[in-house]
Amino acid sequence: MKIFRAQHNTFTDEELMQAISKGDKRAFDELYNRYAAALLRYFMRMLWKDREKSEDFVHDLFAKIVNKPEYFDPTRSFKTWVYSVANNMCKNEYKKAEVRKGMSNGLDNHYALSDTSVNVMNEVQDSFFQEAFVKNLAELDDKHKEAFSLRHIEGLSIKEIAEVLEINEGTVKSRLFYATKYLAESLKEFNPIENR
Amino acid sequence: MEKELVNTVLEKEFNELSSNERIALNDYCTSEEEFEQLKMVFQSVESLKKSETIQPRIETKNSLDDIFAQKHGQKPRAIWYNSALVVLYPTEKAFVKRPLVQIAAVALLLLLAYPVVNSTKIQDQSETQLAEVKVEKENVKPTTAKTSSPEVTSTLVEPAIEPTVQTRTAEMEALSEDMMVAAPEMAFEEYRSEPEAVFAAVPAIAERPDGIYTGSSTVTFSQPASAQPQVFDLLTSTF
Repeated sequence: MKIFRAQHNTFTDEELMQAISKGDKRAFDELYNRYAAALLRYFMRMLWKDREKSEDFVHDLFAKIVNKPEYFDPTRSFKTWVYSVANNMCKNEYKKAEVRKGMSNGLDNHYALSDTSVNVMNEVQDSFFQEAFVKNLAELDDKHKEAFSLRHIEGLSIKEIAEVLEINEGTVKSRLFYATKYLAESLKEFNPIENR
Repeated sequence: MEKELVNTVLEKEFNELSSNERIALNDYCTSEEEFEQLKMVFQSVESLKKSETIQPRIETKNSLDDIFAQKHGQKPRAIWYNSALVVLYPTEKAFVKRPLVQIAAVALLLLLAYPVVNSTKIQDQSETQLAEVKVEKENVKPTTAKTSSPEVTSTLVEPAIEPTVQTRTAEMEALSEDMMVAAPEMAFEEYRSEPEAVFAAVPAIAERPDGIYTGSSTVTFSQPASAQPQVFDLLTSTF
């Protein structure tokens, strides 16, 4: 009964991490409920809408939290830390993909994946306009995509993004500016004023 | 871009922008066309956030639970009520919205209401019983009137035993004479065997020769008056 137990939903992320390191299962459940879905969506966006891979990445990240909670620095924000871990995992995957691409016979490795991603997008998005946005976001280069996703979809501040990406705030602003301009330009064909 | 600026783009039209807002947005858009494109980007972001309802699979969580149990040496207990509690006591819902709490509240209300309902029921029952008793009484009255008639009473009332006036008849006199004759032949002990048969008690106190038993004696027996000649004399003299 919640009356007699610690109310984990009132704990901060950092307090939950401390409780997890002491073996508090309910703290782990709470943290998972807070971040699992958001991280899955982040991985989906960053990993070419690959659901299986994204699930695996979420699993690996939380397994890391369980097995090595000491990796988390309690003086830092958990949100920043977890997204920086997620971002590093994506970067490693990009490197692996590059290696695979170099060893491939010239076919695009993500051809099949991007094909299924269209189906996923069709399920999620109702209009061509939104579909085009998602497509253009996916096509954006990784460093701009991650900055834009973290800022506008995950809701991190510029300072937090700078910590996650380990870059200065000016660079974050610059990347955000570029990404926003690129996406706005790519949606030009859907602009009602342009089509008048 | 700051959150406030994004909200401004989403909520306002280009013509509605203040000069300060136009200066803030100057890097992103200078014309209405560019402003509309920017608005479309943020509208897409909002709709993307709303449409993204994807959740991790349950297998992922189960696997992580196993890893947690291995790490901290506590296997989640497979108890039947755990699955029931998920339905009856979902922790994600507000306390008052949990089915178990609602059921308990209803049960408590019923428990509290039972004595009240029951007391009124008992009252009703007693009232009806009283009414029935009254009706019965009303129905019984005429019959008692009937029974009070001489015919019925004669059937109900046990026949009164008429006090028999014992008169000393000739037969009795003859019998007593026989007894008086036979008395000396009878052994004293024979009467002891029948202590119940009390005819005339031996006076327990010598001063009471009239045969009245006072009850202080432990052994009581009777014997014919002829066995005590002085008493016999007294009796005969009395009659």
